Amino acid sequence: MKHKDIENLIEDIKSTEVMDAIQSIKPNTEITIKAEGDIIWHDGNSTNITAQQIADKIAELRAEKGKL
Amino acid sequence: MALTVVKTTALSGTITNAQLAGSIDLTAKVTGTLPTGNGGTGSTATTFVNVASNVTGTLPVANGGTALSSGFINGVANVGKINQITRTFSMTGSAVSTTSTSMVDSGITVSITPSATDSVIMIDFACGMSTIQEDTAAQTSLYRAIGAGADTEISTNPYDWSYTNTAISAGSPNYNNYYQHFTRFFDTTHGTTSACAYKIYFLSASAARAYYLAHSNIVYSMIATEILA
Repeated sequence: MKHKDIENLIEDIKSTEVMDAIQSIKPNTEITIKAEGDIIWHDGNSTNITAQQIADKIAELRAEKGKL
Repeated sequence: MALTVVKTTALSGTITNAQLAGSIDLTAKVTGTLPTGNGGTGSTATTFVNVASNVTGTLPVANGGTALSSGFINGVANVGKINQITRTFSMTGSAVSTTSTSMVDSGITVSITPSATDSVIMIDFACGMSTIQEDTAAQTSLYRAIGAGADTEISTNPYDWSYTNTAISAGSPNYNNYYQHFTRFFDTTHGTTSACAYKIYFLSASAARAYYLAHSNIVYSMIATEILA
């Protein structure tokens, strides 16, 4: 999976949003977002988290922040 | 009255020093080139000393020389010369981050092919802003791969690569520990003229906390400079 795959689903991603979303979907998962945009799942993405799920979670977290 | 005999024809035979009543006019009576074997310069040139042909041997250090028959400092003509520079530069990418608790490749890399096995490769890494989430320690390290070889950590001495971050304020909000970094490392052990890839590895002390080595659209750069030994 690439960072770009998520950017294509939701606009104006901020630096921390992808990592926050993944950590929210699956806490304590070890991932790396590399300089070239590759997202490396150090557990092999055992729960098959998709780019769409991450984009949806970013939208959800944005909405929650908007309520604060 | 004493007679003075003046010979008007050319003298022949040997004239001894005792027979020379006066001095020899060097200006008018000496022509040709006095050989170096006779104390001359072996040259008709008017220059005092021709350093190209009249000076041999090595000028000692005490006399202002190098005590060398060739070369410059330490006998190497290009010592200290910057031979080449390569650079990786980005200010438009996505965030570079990890929750890995073991060292992983960040993807930030710079490659250089040394021209000499004994040259020094100076690595500069500058990062506009890195962030550590609360109560989290993070660390970066420098790795090197020669040719198709494996990545090997070369910054094992913290005094060579002081890039270990430790969160300093417990209970603080997320992303409160901001750092701007400039780190320099001198690689004196590559010993190769094959391509060398220098890579930034990093880790977070906690899988629950992310370490952002760089943020979206914030500049980072990595420069490799070869300095001849």
